[in-house]
Amino acid sequence: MRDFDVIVIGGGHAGVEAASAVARLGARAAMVVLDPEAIGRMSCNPAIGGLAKGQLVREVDALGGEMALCTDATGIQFRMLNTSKGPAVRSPRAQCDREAYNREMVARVFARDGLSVVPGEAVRILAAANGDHVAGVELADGTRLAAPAVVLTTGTFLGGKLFAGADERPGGRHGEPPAARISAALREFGIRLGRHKTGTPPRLHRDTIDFSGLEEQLGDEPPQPFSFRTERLELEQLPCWLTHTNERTHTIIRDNAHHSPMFRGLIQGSGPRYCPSVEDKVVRFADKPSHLIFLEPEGRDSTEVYPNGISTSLPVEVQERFLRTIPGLEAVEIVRPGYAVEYDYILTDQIRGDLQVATLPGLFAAGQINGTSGYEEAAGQGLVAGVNAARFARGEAPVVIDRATAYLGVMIDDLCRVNPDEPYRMFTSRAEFRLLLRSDNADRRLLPLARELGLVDAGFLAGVQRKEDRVRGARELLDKVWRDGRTLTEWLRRPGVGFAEVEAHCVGLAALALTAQERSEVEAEVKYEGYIARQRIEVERLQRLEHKRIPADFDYAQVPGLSKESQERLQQRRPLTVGEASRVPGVRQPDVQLVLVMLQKHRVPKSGVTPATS
Amino acid sequence: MLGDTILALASPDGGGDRAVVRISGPAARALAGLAFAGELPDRRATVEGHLRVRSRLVPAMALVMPGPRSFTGEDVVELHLPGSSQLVTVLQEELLQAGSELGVRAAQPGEFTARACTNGRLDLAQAEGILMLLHAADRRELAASVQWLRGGMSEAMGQLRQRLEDVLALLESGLDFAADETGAVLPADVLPALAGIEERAAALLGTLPAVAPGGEVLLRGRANAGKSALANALAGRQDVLVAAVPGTTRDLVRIELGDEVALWDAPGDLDRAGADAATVDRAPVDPATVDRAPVDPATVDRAALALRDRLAGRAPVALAVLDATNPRWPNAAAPAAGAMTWLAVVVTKVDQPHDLAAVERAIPAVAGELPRIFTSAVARTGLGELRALLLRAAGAGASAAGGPLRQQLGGVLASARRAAAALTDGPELAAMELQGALRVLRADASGHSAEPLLDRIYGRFCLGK
Repeated sequence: MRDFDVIVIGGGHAGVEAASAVARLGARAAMVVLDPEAIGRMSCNPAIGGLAKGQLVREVDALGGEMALCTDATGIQFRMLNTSKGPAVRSPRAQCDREAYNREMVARVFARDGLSVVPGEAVRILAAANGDHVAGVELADGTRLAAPAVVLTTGTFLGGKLFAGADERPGGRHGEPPAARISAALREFGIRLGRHKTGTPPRLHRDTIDFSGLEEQLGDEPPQPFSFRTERLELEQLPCWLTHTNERTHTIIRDNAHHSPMFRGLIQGSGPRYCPSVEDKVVRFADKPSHLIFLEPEGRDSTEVYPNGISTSLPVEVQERFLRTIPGLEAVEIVRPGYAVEYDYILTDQIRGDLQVATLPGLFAAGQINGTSGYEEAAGQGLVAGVNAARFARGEAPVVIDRATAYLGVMIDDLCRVNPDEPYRMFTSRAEFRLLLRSDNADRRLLPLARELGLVDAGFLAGVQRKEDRVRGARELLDKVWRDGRTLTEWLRRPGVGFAEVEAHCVGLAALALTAQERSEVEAEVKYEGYIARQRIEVERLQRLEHKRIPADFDYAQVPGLSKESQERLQQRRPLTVGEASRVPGVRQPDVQLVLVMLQKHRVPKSGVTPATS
Repeated sequence: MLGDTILALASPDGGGDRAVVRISGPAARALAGLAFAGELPDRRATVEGHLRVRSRLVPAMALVMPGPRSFTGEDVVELHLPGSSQLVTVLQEELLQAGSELGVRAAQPGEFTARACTNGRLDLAQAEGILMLLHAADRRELAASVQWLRGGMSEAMGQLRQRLEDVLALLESGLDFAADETGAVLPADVLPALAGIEERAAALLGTLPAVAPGGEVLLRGRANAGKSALANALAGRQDVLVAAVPGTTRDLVRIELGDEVALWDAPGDLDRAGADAATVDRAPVDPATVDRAPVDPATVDRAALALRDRLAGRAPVALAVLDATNPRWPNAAAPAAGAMTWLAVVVTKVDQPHDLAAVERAIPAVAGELPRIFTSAVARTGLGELRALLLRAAGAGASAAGGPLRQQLGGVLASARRAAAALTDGPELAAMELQGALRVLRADASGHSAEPLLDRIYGRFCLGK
């Protein structure tokens, strides 16, 4: 008896992608949310993408996800970052209209066939009578929903606690109650939890800011769409504004730092070093006379402004005082104060490459509950967890994406390997195959997987194919057109020469009218040619053993010579591949080799989907 | 990543009544288990049993030595079996075939040594230091060697690695964070640091001992076969070399013949299986050459002895030295870490009365086709012929002293140069080069992790919007 194939708990960025992926695979999904109106809400910065994160969003899009399309539909400013550097490290970023994004996601979720929204608070994970797999979810009102797979995407709500000055109260986000009882439910299953912290700045009233003396930051013209499925964007872009703190600001913050719950030791969780609170910045980097602040509009019609760079948990009246020392903010009014939030997350050495909790088959986790930070990281995990939950519900083999195919693979592999001691954010330096994992080729990289899984429609696949043909056509042209004793390929390979310059010398190329992504791909392929060849050799080495599957029913007790300790660890952890097994803490290499020998003897056929690398 | 497992014949080729096939690496026990009929325990043990070779059972013995307490620091299994060339060849083939998917392959000459170093049984720099000690031609070099032995080179390599990580962190901060957070990272900020690394790597390379690029040849023979006299006659010197170095004179001496060939002279000990450090004579240490905290001579001796065995694996070419007055073939049971190729049979002391037929009888069938060179160090006969033969053989090319360190430093040097050149194309390409250099230096098996790098970035910049 099952009511659904997969129940997704939570409706944030991870929950939306998880539930949508389940439905796209033709399985029946339920999304259990406290408040359906909060589906897809941006609780922090109303922006999508950014360095490395933009690549993740494009990957989610290549697998048919919602995030990029929603961004294109509601963006108010689009920028490609790092354009002065090579194509591998360029990333798209967009400011969105916070309200519109939220509404668009609600609409998309409700419109999705096979996806039911169930308002309520999940309080317990139900396990089968023998306790060895998931059976469903119980809600606060006593309703029991039966399903073989559950995806947890509770974000910062798990045991959430909000801090501002001396004020401390339970909460998941501003004005929303926490998911108090799930943590206890998880502990009952022996799942170990850690504690993370993050923060958000105060929101400011637009009409109380004097923009006249501030530096403007404009979007790119023309704006580049996020989604591979958006042909072009037509919108009037809004500017952001730059201002900065000064010595007076710092004095107020320093004098009041002892009020901050962080400094008073009230917060136990560790916060992200890449996104410190303003009190952290002032105290730790005392010699820096000034810190940048980006004033970002929260929407086209919104009167709220997001001051990026000054997240804080100081008392509200201190927030107001230091803000008013900042140029442009002399008369500013706070709409909502900044706060810090502390929450539970699952120590990720309990998570496998398919985002399943190793000790409880059928339970999957994605997003901040896995110790990550950011909408994009959450969305990526949500999609992978949703896919695997649906496959699990149908008795199909799990999908594991490797480090050479996508940032999605890098992220999940990193999580499985170490418990992040601060919220995990994606950086391009996390990817050893950075030159291959670009935002311009995410669709081509993930095409084999998208096709095999059936996550995207025929139109999308045809589009990727068309793009591939056009890129190949352009490269052939570059190879055969000569100028001043060199082919255009050789010209393009020279430092400082961009695609536009080459295009100006070749009518044939201009006639192809390549899109920005296609140009970027051509440029990357030409400029990186030798380097890419070297990275591919490394990739092959990685994949030789990495991809070797270990069947779900593999019996470690039957491996002669395997130490008792390793046997227990592997049996409990049930790694999906030999690569994953080799990274299980405490398992020695010789043990892995013994497992390999055993696999060899049994000649287990390779199962499941193994994506090829573009 | 998972490491390879290597195997090789560890006893002299084609001689003796017992052959030893050594397997080292993570799959050692698994692989041996495929061929050995009998339980192989996961602790240090000697097991009597049988080997399946072409589905026939051959009486054999297995020595199981789990890492890290083994010769290479990895799991090692030695299979001892009757010394038939054909049997050994077939066994090796079968093992290589069975192990192909486990990442098993034949060992390169000297690879067991390299692993011992990379696995921390011997710090690479320390191992190189011992090698230098063995070559030290004068006291100044000796002092430098001792410095190395005490970890000086390890420290220098560590510092070089830190400098690389610093530049990489700077580059990455420019790639992973917006310019308004970290400030733009310009080539001018990076180039001086790259040049500094290049310079330092080149300077360290300069301190490595001179190399004989051609070949390294091991002299093998019974005690008193006349190897030292032969070596000195070839080198044109009267005295035994490096007499002042404790524990080395009687242990192992390297003699460079011109620029192309180096002879390793290993009197006696290589022929006496199981000879231990205590039997090696020691000259007193001169306090002037070894500064305030001299290396414990006993430590050097043990390390040098261990090194000698490994050198057998690094010198794939050997001369069999027979005393014309008392012809006996080199001891087959002597320890040797890799397959060995006989280059020639050198008969010494031909100025004294001897019986040629007895000499021929002492040469086993396997060496029947080898050239014979009749020499006398006293009468200085046959030396020109031998030198010519050695120079001809020098093309074979074996690993030279300082090889692994030289390789690492060379790699760093080349990467720093390539990174500087790639900067104009893109900082992401320069970063890729530096990541490669760090992989070479770390030589560890763990996967890619950005954490140490991020730590450096956070320590330096106030980040975060």
